[in-house]
Amino acid sequence: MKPPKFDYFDPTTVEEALDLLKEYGEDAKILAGGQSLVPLLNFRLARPQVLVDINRIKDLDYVRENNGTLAIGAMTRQRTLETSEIIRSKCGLLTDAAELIGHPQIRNRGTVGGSLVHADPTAELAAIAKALDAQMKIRSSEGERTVAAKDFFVTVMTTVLEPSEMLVEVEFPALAPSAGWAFEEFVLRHGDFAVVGVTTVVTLDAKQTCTELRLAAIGVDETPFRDPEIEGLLQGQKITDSLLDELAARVSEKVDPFTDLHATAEQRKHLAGVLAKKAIKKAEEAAILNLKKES
Amino acid sequence: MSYGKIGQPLGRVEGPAKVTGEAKYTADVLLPGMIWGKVLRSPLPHAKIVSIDTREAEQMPGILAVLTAKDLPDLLIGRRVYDMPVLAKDQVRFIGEKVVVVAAEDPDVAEDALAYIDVEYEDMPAVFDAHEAMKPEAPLLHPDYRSYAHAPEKFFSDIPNVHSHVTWELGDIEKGFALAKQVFEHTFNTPAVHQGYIEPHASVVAIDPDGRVNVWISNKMPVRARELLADVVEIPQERIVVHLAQIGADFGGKGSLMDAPLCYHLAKRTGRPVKMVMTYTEELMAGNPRHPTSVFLRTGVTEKGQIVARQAKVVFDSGAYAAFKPVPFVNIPGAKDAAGVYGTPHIRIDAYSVYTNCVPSGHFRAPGDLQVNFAVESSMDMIAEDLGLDRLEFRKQNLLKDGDWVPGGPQLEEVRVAETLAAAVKASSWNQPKSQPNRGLGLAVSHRLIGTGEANTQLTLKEDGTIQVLTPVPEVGTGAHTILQQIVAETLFLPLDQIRVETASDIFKTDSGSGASRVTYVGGQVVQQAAGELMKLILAVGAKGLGCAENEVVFEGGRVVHSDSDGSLSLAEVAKIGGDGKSALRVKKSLNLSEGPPVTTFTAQVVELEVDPETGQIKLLDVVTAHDVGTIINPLGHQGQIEGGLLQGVGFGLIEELRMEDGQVSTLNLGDYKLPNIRDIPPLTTVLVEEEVGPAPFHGKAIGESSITPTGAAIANAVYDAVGVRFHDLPITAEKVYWALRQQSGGKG
Repeated sequence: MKPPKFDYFDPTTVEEALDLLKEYGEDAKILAGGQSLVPLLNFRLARPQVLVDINRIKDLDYVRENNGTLAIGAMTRQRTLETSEIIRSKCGLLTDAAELIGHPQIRNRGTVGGSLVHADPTAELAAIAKALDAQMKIRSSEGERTVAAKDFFVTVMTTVLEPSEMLVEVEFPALAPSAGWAFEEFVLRHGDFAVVGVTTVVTLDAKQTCTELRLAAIGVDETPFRDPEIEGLLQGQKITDSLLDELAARVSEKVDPFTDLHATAEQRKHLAGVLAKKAIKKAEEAAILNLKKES
Repeated sequence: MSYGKIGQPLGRVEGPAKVTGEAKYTADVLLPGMIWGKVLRSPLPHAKIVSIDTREAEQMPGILAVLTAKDLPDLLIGRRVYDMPVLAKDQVRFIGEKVVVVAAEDPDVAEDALAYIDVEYEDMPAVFDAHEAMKPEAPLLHPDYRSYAHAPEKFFSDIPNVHSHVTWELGDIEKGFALAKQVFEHTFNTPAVHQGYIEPHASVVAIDPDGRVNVWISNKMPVRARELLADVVEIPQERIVVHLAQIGADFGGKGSLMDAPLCYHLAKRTGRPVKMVMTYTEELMAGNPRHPTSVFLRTGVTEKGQIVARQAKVVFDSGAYAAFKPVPFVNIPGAKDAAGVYGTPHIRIDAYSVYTNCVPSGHFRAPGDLQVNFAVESSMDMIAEDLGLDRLEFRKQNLLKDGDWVPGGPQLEEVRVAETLAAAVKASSWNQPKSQPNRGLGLAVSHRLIGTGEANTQLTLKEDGTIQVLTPVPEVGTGAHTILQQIVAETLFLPLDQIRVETASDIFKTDSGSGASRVTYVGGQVVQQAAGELMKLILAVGAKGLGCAENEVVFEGGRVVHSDSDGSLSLAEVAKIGGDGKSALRVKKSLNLSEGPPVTTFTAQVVELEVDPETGQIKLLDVVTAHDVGTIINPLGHQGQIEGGLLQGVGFGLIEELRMEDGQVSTLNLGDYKLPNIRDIPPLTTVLVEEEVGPAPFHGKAIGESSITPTGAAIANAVYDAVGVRFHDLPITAEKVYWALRQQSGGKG
């Protein structure tokens, strides 16, 4: 099917785009990479009156390093996550996770900001943003505000963005050189939406004791799941199989997933635990390697 | 033998148009004044239609016509038996059945109007399972079945809802079981799966002022489509012209008229050209998917492990209508392979096609073969294990040999199954020790007889010296046109670019179209014969032009050459001479093969996979597919057929299923209905066991429906080898594996 009729604007500056959002409010939808919105239009699940195509705004496509953080412009293509040397060196989790997002054709068009704002409950970037406490920079014609990832996602396909607002940048913290990370997914076919996914960053000290665990899961709740208590389980501990089994059991117990065509809630609970364990193990191994590289 | 054009790895003749977007499909057809049709479909699986109120929709701006069954001739249609209404009349029989059609200038307006049509239904008892439908208390879907046009009288049954019961026999089944030391019984089930072609069904009908009916349709047998359309709209065939557009794949699913009759009626009513394009949601709820099938096998084996008797009951869920089944017995031919590739002296196979209140089923690449092969090859492993025999040795001991008969087929010659199986095993890690836990190997073997039928062509030497090959077989994506071009080029000793393959349907009366692995065999022979005859004409006209006798000329370097002098003529010159006289240089030819050759083709596959015991996920590590092939006409196309079929087999084995609950399909888009994609292709080794013994031109064999068949069984056998769980139902999804493993370990998970 083809999309329903809409009016189309293609502003070239952020200001113009914000003016259009102010003017059309709830009737407008921003078109970024179009990898989610266009299918929604074609299936008639979204019928905006106005599309504001921001692909001609050049100043939203950038990757910058500032004082230990990585600032990524909202219109940065997901493919850049794989190819940018700065991203690889400062936040390699983004590089490694990018290949889980669809297929290269999708990543060539799909944008970092678009994925975050779309807030699909199985989006990889949302999980990473939440796990790393990313900061979302939001603008409207009235001004600018910054929202932490934990407050950004409200529910399925809903964020705190007002109709007049636009996400312009997301800031990820640089990962410690000794950190290890992983993103584990259960998919029904390659490149598909994850049924369940878990991302984690493990930081070890010189004695290979865990100093910090960050862990977020997707496909198990309306927004990415993260739990400080679970992350605390490994704090100051040597990571052992029994500790991981305990952690996995806690993850399975705490997540609150849904049943749909592709998996039952029960299977999702189980998968969240299994994947958490797999991801932490993989991240720990990577962290140990990084420690060795450092010393 | 060495050839010039045969055996070259050639890209498609229509390839550049397809990759540049130049190719025109039916949905691309735009005509002046064209309008759109959309249908309202039944939300209920079985119900009486009490009333239909279309008044509100008719009043809507932009609505040009609203038709119900009352506005159409009271006729039924089908590819063989005519059992399906164009629009439901008194009752609906499945969710998705067409009830009302609306036409508007804008497809969105037509679509929106559907919401304003009020249909009052009265529920009727429904049945969603073929076995349930065969019980005496089941509601009868078609009480008048025996009176339908082309209903297969010889195959009527007294079992409720069975619309065709076909039996294939060899030997004496009772005697066979009497010889058996042990008898095994197994049952297997497979679901409905969609063909997954990219182009959904589309049709356009435009009626000229003089009454000529122009039809564009995604249909792989356009000559038959014209015949069927003439019947259902009650006009003479001669008034219908089927224009052939490109087809965005078929995989067996595009043999019906689908919405073309509705386009005709709307065009007639409005005086405008009408287009209808199904959405993919409509495809998934009301296309014509592979039959959900249950296969019961009873196998008698001697003490020494010889299979002496095979009884099979194959139950095909036809859904609400049998209209999508093309063969005269209105059943699924693949059932006849229920003895597999094993020489079995006593066989009885009963195939039942059964009405239920589900989506009507149709043909999909190797119809019936996959379902039956999954059962046969799974049971081979199970029987071998029960007998304490090696599963490969048990197979080898029972393989078909020269001179064996196969049910419904000929006495076989050139049987090369042992070589094919050996080649697959050799190319795999079958004989290596098991490397790691949770890894397993499975194998499966299949065969397929080449298809018969009717093919036509017309070859013309054009004045520019090129040869025009007209065929009524559309290019459905198999590479058929490239093959025909190669065969003509080879036969006439001409460069490929001097041969132009074009489609035309209206100059031929009857034709079987594309399907049943038939085109290279029957279609190839007809162009080969026509090319031979055209060459004779060219030489005769050339000799006349050169003023010498026919036996004094030869065809050399693309010219007719007088052997005794320097005189020669180009083909363009010959064409001009011929064109002047009364005899145009043209050969029209038809070939109807009703008996197949005694040579079949074998496929053996070995799958190596790993099961993640914690998630149930299956990872294919290595797949070997070995094929018994003749001369390969186009190696590139040949390999494409092998790989494409195999990936569909992987989908059938692991993920594909049109999920239905009480007749309602829930996987209604290609996000929910999972087709494997390019990254799901496993590491693949193809082994070709070549010998120039095939029945097709230049000793070729069929390939299109080979590699898809054994994959499901090979996967199931490998999963058993890996983790000891036997699956009787496809697809073997990760979720099923996970729960089965949990059950196996006593629920400890």
